[in-house]
Amino acid sequence: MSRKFSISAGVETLFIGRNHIHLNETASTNNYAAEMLRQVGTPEGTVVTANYQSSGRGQRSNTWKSTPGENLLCTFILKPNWLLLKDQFLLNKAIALAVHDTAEAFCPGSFIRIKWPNDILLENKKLSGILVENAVHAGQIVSTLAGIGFNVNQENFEEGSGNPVSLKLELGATVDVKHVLATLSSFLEGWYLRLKSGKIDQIEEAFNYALWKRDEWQSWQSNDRIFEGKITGCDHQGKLILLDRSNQEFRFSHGEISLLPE
Amino acid sequence: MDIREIQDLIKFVAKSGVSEVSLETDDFKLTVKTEQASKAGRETIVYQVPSEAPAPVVQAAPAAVAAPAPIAEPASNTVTIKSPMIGTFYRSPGPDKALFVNVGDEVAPGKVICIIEAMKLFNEIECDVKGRIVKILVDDASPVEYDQPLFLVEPA
Repeated sequence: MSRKFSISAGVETLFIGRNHIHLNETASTNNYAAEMLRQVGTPEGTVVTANYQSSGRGQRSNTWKSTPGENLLCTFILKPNWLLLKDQFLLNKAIALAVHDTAEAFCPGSFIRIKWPNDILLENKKLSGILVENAVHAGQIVSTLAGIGFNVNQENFEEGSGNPVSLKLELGATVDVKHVLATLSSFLEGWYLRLKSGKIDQIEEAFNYALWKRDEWQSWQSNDRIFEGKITGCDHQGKLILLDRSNQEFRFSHGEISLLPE
Repeated sequence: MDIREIQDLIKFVAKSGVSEVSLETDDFKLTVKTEQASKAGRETIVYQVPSEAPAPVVQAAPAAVAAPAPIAEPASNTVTIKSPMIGTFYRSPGPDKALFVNVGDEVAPGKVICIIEAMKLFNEIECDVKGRIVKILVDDASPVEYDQPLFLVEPA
């Protein structure tokens, strides 16, 4: 396993991404970052990237597959010990917005949205996934691992890998993965510092604005109930806010509701 | 000293394993503290929390005595670890992975004992007491409320 340690050139941020560890191959960048935190106490903003993850993880049993070197596979180490546990979804919003803005910077004019709670879609196809893992001690967040898989140059995807897309498929040109990392670091720092300085309204507003299927009537299912509803936003705790045809408001946690196929 | 030299110094200090380096010349003074130093500093703060934490247990114990419930464990000398948040309780990092802890296991502050997932965000809950797990009160993959008792630990 080759390992490089560098202060990244071309990253114009204060702390996010300035300390960069690049691995040729690792099981998962989140696992590697967690182990680094345990062993050496890595500074905030450190990013771990890999050309290839042998067991890249989505949420729990889901895996994240990527062809070596073609995509951005990274984990940012954050230490939001000022953030209350009950407010943790705000950090998810900040991370999702950073990925969203990065996609928009490379594909201006394309339709880019955040699929609640934290997938990034480009023209309704999955461009990026996020896996957030917090370490919690005595009721307080000690560290956050923001794992991001971002399809950059991959053109061929395995059967059954959902409905993926990459920047290259959208743009018809190869994109420098390092450039994507630098852009993402910069946006992440911006949103993270907004969160830290209490500019919550800006985060909520931008997140709601970027929500996929917002303000569109869709068929939804929750338990046994099937109803027509439209997304109006996502609340502080991360619950999806829906309005039904009788103008009644409902809030759902992740897993409590699904969108029925059109 | 230019920015490059300062960066090199930071790298050097980070790699060397020392916690703090101070450098003083005629025209400046520079102190570089590593994460270990600030982490140690934070842990002394964190350690104040366990001194508060036993308080709810003291409250819990008389309650257990008042209601003569058939509790097998001697409730008087156990510490209850409660959920810090609403979510879904998981005993392992993934469906086919080893459990974080079992009854009888020794635990210490910093040891991950469970995951609580909420809204696709995964929270690894670290133990804040040293001792032995005597009971696990919640089944894997079930919903938990804020402050719901999760584990009973016999302090060491």
